[in-house]
Amino acid sequence: MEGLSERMKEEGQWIVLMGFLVSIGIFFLALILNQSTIVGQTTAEGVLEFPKNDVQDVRAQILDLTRNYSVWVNPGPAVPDWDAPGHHIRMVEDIENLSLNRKSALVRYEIGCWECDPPQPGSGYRIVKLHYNNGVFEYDESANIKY
Amino acid sequence: MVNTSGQLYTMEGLSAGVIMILTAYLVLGSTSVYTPGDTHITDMQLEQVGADVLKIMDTPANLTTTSELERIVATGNIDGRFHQLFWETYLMSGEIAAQKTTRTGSSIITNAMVYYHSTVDGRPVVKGYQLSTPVIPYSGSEPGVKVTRYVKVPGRGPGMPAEVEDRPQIVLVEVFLWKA
Repeated sequence: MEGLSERMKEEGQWIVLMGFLVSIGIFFLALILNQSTIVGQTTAEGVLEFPKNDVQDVRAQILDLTRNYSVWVNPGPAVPDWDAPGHHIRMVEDIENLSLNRKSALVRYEIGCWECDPPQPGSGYRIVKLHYNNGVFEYDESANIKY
Repeated sequence: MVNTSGQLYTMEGLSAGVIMILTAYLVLGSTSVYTPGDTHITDMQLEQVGADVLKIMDTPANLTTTSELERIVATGNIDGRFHQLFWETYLMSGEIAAQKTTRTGSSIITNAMVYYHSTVDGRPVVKGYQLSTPVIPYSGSEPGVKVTRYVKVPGRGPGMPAEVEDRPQIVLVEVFLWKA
């Protein structure tokens, strides 16, 4: 090495070192620029993919139907015209069919009754099971609703 | 005997070359994904604001009345009420809407459809009809988003096709939003 460094001129070494540092700096700046655009895209895609509004909408409608409309033959909290037996189940069927056909999401709904046999207003709870699956996101919920 | 006087220059040259190639790769790669990322962000914003507008329109003023959206679906889109509420009142701010003299000045166009489920010959069918016609027809190439809302109606309203069953039911209001 003694002979090698003697033969090379040493005045240019600072310039070479500075060039090296600057190139490393540009490298990291490019890395940051690269990552920042991908972060924006993946965040937006993640938000678009998550069906927040769908789940909230389905959930609100189904719980509202369960709370306000008669499921069994005897009338629940009276809502004239809307409260005829069977309407509640058919409206849930509407949601299931529309969801499957228009939004490619599977919605299933089960209802049970707890301490209300025979069902009497104010005597027990309705147990609601709600299932939502659009292939990317799955949501399940059980809710107790005071009858 | 091989002459070793140029070895340091060779190593410098190699490392500098590797760094330059990596930098060029990263810079070129970062510019190419910029456009799709950008459109996704605006799509997300448009979808969120559209869903919020539908939610506002479907919120009744009090516990005993029905919401504006329920009324529009049940009684039909009289005098362009849907577009008036959705676009002028809620989607655009009140100040911007007040300055517009014509509705064609809008940059975001809406097209609303109503989908219903009924039983024909024992089979469930899902069909739709148009609730509000767009000011400018959709060309098929503008990027757009779709927002939806389930709406309860007490029966077949005057604006609905005869195939809709006359019973309390839930229909799906779909609004297609795009920028023109």
